Amino acid sequence: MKILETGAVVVGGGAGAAYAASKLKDARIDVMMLVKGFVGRSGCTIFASQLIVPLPPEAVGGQVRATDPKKNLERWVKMTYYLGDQEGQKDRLEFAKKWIAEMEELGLYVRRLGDGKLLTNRPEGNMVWAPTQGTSGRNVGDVLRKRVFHQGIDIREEVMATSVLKNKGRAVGVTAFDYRNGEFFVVRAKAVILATGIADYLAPRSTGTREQCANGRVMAYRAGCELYNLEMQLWHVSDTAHPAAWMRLHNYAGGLPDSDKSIRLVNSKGEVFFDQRAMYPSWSGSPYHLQLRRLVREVENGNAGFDGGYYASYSHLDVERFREHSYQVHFFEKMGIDIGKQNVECGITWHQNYGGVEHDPVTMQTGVPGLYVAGGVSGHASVFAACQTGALAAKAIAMSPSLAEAPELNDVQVEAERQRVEDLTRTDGDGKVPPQVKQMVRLTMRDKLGPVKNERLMLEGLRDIARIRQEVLPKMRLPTGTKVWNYDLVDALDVVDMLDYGELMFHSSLMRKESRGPFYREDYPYVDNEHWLRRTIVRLTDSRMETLTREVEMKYVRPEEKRADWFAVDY
Amino acid sequence: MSDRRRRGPTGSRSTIRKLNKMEKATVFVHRFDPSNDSRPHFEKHEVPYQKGMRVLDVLEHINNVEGRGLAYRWFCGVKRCGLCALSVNGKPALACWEEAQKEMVIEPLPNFDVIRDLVIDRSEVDEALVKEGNVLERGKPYEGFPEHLSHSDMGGAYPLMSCIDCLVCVGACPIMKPGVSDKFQGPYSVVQVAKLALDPRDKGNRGQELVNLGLEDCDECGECTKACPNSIDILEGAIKQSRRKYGIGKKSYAEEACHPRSDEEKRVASFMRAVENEG
Repeated sequence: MKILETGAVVVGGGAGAAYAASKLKDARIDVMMLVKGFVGRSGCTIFASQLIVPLPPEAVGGQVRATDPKKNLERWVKMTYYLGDQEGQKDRLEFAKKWIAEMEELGLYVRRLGDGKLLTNRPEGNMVWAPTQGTSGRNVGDVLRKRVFHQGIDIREEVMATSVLKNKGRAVGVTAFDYRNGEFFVVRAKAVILATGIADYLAPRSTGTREQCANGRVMAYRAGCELYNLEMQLWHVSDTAHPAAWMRLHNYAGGLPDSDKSIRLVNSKGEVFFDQRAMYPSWSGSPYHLQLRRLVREVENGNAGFDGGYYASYSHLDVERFREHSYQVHFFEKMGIDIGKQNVECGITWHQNYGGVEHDPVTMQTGVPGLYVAGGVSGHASVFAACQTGALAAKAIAMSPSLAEAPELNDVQVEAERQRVEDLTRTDGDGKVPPQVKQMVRLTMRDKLGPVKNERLMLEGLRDIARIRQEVLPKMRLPTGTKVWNYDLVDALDVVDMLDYGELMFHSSLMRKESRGPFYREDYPYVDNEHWLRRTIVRLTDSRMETLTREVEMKYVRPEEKRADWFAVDY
Repeated sequence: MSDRRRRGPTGSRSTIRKLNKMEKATVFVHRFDPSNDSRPHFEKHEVPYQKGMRVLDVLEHINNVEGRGLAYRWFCGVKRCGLCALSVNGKPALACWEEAQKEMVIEPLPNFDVIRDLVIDRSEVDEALVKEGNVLERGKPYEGFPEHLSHSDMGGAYPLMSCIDCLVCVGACPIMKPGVSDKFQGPYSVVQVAKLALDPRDKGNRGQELVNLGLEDCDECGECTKACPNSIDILEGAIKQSRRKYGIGKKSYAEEACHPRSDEEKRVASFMRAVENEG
């Protein structure tokens, strides 16, 4: 079995992973990237539409209102539903200013107007596009991809990390499966960064890209890390309903380029039920949880379904100007839809998670020494937050005394993992193949952990997970035993991770006895700030799952109300 | 809220009933595993068809419903990752962008080595660009955000930013066929370098890079422009602009060496391959 050596191994290929790897290389640390897809070309980074960063008011086009740093912080804390690390949020906004400069220096083109001012939204003036709505993240990914290749970093694409290796309580590397060649190998490293992203393909309609199946989160959990707030999982509301391949085609409902308007959502009767600009004028970030509230009401009243029967409407906009700044428009035109006159049918998609692997917010180290996280897997949304957390992890590793130690592998653990992967390669029998089992798991997650939750459904979901594990998984077989580009074996590994992660999500969701942000329980339909300004935690203790909660420090901002109807608040 | 309303109209049983009632598309898919097969063959499928569905939806049905273990790349489904390029009825296309038809032959993207089934080896094209650098080289120190720049300053670089590295243009390029040129790395490489060459902030030696990437061997047939899923005018916007800027010449070919075939010729050829090699 091949054993590779490096200083730090970065698992992931999005903004957080690439930025961390780049900073490690700048610090002259030997670094390797293991990427399940392709650096900068897969994962949720590529879907980021706009970049929300503090902008100098004199540089933005049009009339914008002055930024109040205190209100800015409050807005960002609200975007975590008051469960985020507030000190980290403050630092993040400062980092964002330097980050956008760094990206532009590397070549990112942040769209200008004819007079040289930055194209932005009005009146907030806190968004830019690089250079169109729908492509900013993709271009950040491209800039970072070129950077890490230019730096000569050892990058291995189409390689899936399968476990974190530990010895004497600390991380000493990872096992990995190169699915181009069918090769299982080991990377021995003095530090491991998991940067596997914020969204996962866990329902039939999801924003996670093909390869995002919660692998990093489960690897961290199995290694002994705590996972927090797994129930704080968003649903995109205004994703395109048809065709199925375009489920990730988003109708962006927040600020628009060079506009003071936002799109509208209309129900099956043609009534507007969501318009961020009109209904939530002080909210300037992505309004997914606000849309969800309104959609739940429409579904309750029979005026929409979660899979369709409601529409994104653009006809009130300056469509020609919008067309100039939008990548999505090409898709509507391809479908024969004139958005100046016709609406686009929408359906919900399982989106990103505002929870993840628990970590020290200064160093990004998890509870396992030598194991770090960066980006969305740690629960931090936004492209620049992914980069900032990547930089923190890289800095901590560069300064870590453990870099001087040579990690020793635990041969028993390596062999156990090799055998686990080998056991999934069976091709005999009449069992289902991994893509079919994945679909079973996704249907369970959609139906039992959908936007409207209750205890009965969640307990049913746990039973469904157990049944798939006990009855379907043992018979699961690969359609081919080839070693050449066998993505079905990747799918098989994903199935196991999805089942484990799904189970953890159900337990986290059962723990939180309130509603908050995107998390709505019809059996607990109120926000409870008296008892639930807390994180839910799941972790392995003596090989068994343990659940607990932990208070969140309200360092700068706290909600005013103690208890409120979930439909009435804006967080 | 009732479970039925919560689940919406696409619970699994109703989906299967709908699929069984739908029209069918007849699809021949290229299969080749170099570790098992002596030569490629085609597998025939009858797949539920609905107007507007994408080729990717067809592939997902073959794998996720029929469980056929087909190897194909995709990540995003919405023309961002650029990794689902293949050939549909002889035409290079993106699986996520190309509308499915009732009769289809799906093959790997032409002009590339096949790893398995529909998965191609992109490494040569990707590595050629990395070797040339392919990063912005500023002539003067960066002045801070936002730098002095207007949209018109970006000029011809801006339309090239729509490139998602999908390589469909390389698949469509007649010069990239084996035996025609051993130097040209394809239109995609020219786009990537031209994007920098036309960027007012860049001062790199892009002329030499374009020579290294074999731009002289481009015959300006325009098949790349025709094929680009993002409608980039590669011929005018990248190839001719670069030639003019750096005075790069154009090699002469005997017409037969690079004459592009018509769409109908390509479609017929693809069906003949499928029928003759059905496994």
